[in-house]
Order: sequence, then C-alpha cells, then structure tokens
Amino acid sequence: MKFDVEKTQNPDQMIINLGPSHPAMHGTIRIVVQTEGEIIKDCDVNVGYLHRGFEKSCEAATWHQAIPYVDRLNYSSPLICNFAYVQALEKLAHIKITPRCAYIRTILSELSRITDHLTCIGAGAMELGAMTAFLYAIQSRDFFYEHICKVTGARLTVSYARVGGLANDLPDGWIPRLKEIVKNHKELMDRFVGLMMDNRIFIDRTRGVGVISQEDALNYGFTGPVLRSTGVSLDCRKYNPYLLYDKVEFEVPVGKYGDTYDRFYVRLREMEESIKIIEQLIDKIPEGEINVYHPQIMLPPKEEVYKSIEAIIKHFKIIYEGPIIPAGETYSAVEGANGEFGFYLVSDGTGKPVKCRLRPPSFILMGGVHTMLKGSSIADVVPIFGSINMIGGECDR
Amino acid sequence: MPTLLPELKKILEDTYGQEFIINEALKELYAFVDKNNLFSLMEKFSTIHFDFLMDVTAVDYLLQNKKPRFEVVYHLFHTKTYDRIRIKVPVTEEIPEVASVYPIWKTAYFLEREVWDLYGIKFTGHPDLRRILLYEEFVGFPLRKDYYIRDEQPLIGLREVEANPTV
Repeated sequence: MKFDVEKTQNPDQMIINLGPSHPAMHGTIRIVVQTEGEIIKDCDVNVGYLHRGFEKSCEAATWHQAIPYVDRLNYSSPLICNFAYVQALEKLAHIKITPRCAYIRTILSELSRITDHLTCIGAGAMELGAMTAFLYAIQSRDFFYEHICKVTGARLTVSYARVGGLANDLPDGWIPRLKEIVKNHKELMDRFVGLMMDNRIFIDRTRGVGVISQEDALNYGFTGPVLRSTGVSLDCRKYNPYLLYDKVEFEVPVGKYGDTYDRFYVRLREMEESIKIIEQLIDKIPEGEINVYHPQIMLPPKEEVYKSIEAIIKHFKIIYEGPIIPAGETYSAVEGANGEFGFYLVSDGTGKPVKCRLRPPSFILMGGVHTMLKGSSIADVVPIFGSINMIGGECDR
Repeated sequence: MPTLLPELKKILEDTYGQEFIINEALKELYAFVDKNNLFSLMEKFSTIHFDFLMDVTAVDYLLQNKKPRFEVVYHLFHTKTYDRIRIKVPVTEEIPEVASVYPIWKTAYFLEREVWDLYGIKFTGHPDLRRILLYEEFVGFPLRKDYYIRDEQPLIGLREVEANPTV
C-alpha cells in the first residue's frame, strides 16, 4: 500500500511531510506522517540523507586513514567512536595497550559520553521551550569540549586514537582544571534538574509520550538509554567489560515506563555515573608510556626518521601501504552514547580493510521509532525525537 | 558473565546438530550455516540461546577469489547470559537470496533493507524491501567490490511525495 494524497477519502486524514531539513530534527531525516486530526495514524521514516559511503571510503583507505572518518560518525561523542575502532583493530592484531593509555581512554570516553548526553538533553529541553536549561547544558558542554580540545587539538574532529596508543599525552595542568570543570558541571546540572525534572510543563509534555514496551524495544534491537528507559539493565560496559570498566564502580540507571521522561532521566543519571567513574580514575593515572611499540603498525619515533634510512623506509611503508593487520575477522563492541557501538572488521592480511562495518545504534533506533510515534500528536514528534538523540552521521554513515 | 566457549560449543552442537567453530585467538564463536537451514535455525536460536539480533551485514569476497562470493553475516546475542555468536551464510553470485529473519526479529526490517541496498542480496519474505540509504533510481550496488568508488550516477528528475507506511 502506498500513501496517495488524491485517493484519501476521509477529509480528516492528511499526509504531512516532516523534514528532511527541519530545524527541530537532529540531523537530516524525513518522516512522512499520515494523520487523522492531530493524531499520527501511520508514519514512514526515511533515512539516508547524510549517507556518504563510510564503508566504501574505508575500503579504499588504509587502516590508519579510516580514523578521521570514524570521528565523523557520532559527532557528539567522537572519542568513543575513535576508541571503538582502534579497540577492534587492536583485538585483531593482538595488541595490549599500556595502563596509562587505558586510564586516559576511559576518562576521555566518559567525558565524551557526558558531552553527548548534554547535547541531547539540552537540545531536547530547548525544543520544549526551556531556553535557560538549554544554556546551562550547552555551557557545561562547551567547557568539556574546550578541555578535550586541549588534549586532542580539536573540539569535535579529534582523530586522537592510534592503533596501540594515543596521538599525544595529557598536557600539564590538565587534571586540576578537569576537576574544576566537573565541579562546575555538577552545579549547572543541579540548576538544570531544578528547572526541568519537576517542572509541570515538562512532565506534561514528556510523561506517557512516545512509550515503547520492553518486548518491542528488545525485538527492534534497541540498545543504550532508549532500551534502559524501558527497564532492561543492559550496558556493554557491564556485560562485556573493556578498558577499565571492570575495575570501577558504577550503576546502570534504568527507567520504568519507557517514555520520553524516562529517557531524559536515564541520560541525566548516566552523566552522574560517568562523573563517578572519572572521579575514581582521575587521581590514579599511572606514569609511563602511552604507546605500545609494534614494528608493523606503529610509526617509528620522529627523531629516528630524520636520522636513519631504515626508519624512513619503515615510515614510508606504513604510510603508503598501511599497517599490516593479521588476516581474520572480529566484532568488538563498546557502549556508545546511544547504544552498542560495534565494529565488525575483516582483514585479509594487507594494509587495507576488506570490510569495515559499524553497527549503528541510531540507525537501528530509527527502525523502530514509528512504534513510538504512532498514536501521539504532531506536536509530540519533536520531543520524542529529541529524547532518542538520533545522530545523522552515525545513522546514515 | 558469558558461558565459556568450549562449553557453549558443546551445548550448541548437541542441541542443533551443526558444527560450530571457535576462534581461539580472538575468543569468538562462529558457524557456517546453509541458507536453506537458516530460518529454522534462527527460529530455534531466538527461543533458547540467542534472543537478540545485534547486526546483519554482508561481505563481498570478490578480490579474495573466495567461492561463493558473498557471505551474509548475523551477529547474535543473549540478553541474560551475554553469549555472542556470528552466523555466516554463504551466498552465490548467481542467486543472491537469503530467507528474511524479519518474522523473528523486527531489527531485520532496517538492517536487511540496508544489505539489499548496498550489496543487492535479496531477503525473501521481507515485507518492504526498498532501498534505504540510497535513492530508488540508484544504479548498481555500491559496496560490491566491482563497483568502482568513482563511478558516477545518472541525474534524476523531480519526484512526487510518496511513502510506504511502516510495517
């Protein structure tokens, strides 16, 4: 059956096109809704407006050259994407990272998760008219971005991870400033919670809106905060611990009703848990190297490249032919901000991938979003979408 | 914590009468499944051992000269025991068709559409197999290895607004 505007007999029925460029859509996505009065009867979610051939580009590039592409997947939390990709490569090449590197990666992953959730709840609040709450969230987020920028050199397009290590070490004075920022973040979040979570208008607009049941969420393959808001306690950091997540204590917050309010609430609580993880690790970062030396993968030290012919040749070969990753295939997942963020890599023993596949959490969320939209009114589309936090870069790849 | 792989392998082989392979180095379990058995196996999986479909994708082994050319890859997961498995279904170039797992997991609704869109592998029984990331007028399947990365597409005209309601 196709929607046909001409053949609609019922005068109450209308077909409305939302997007692809709509100011309140997070990224470019188009939803064609069939309405009766103001209630959505049926809808068709069209994705793909930001498709840029991520996998094809990766297959044409070497393993190292794919790292900047990976940044552009989830542009709200690029560090998690970076670490997820190199973690999969390290698994394939049997590289064990140094303790200092693991500490820094864990802390930066959690910072990245906080910035992603701040974007989501801040923008979601603004779409409901809460401009002040939005400014609190974005103010805190920008402190984090600037602080990440001091390590990586960029706010969003970080390209910070390397196979077997990191691009550079933490600068001096980074940790004391991080503590100040975390303190400031807590104050701002107290104000945010005071403004939003007990607010009558906010509760009216979000409680019982966009409900998805637990069975539906599991059947549609949802992961991340959207699944946890229905009461399923599934978190990749707990069930499949990577980095240092089995050494720190944190809770997995879950919701109860699976509605928009619960999704906001789960994200707020997750930020608290992230802060808890950061505070446990921040004073214990061990001294030492951040990179593992692996002759076929890591570039030789710059001083040697300038001095010896062997190092120049090695440098040239790694740049030109790509790092040699052993033949094989693997699936390695991390907990991204929107759900399980897994890479499925296939290597044939050369410097270029045969297959570099991302399991896109947002894309899978979009596969089931129509169950949330059906039965709600047109005005609720925007809060529902805001609480799901679809990221176009990762959804359309 | 997940079941130990040798134990899990034994349980699965006893239950399903099918060979499962352990990759010792990477600690992963996988299996090659014939495409005729795929749907019945997945149906049994979904009730007992793996109740969550993580991912559906395909790999094109044209440049590796592997026969058959394609493999459809399913990643399954269990939400209680946290076990994982990779199911690989070899698919020939001549008949690129697999049974859809949409009746079991609705996750497959978008994921199988994506595989059809990018690899041209058909999923029989899928209710609405349209292109998803690309547009209907796109010629060819871009993730196949014989699609050159700089290939150009014909220009298309304006279209009417139309859409299929979701299933």
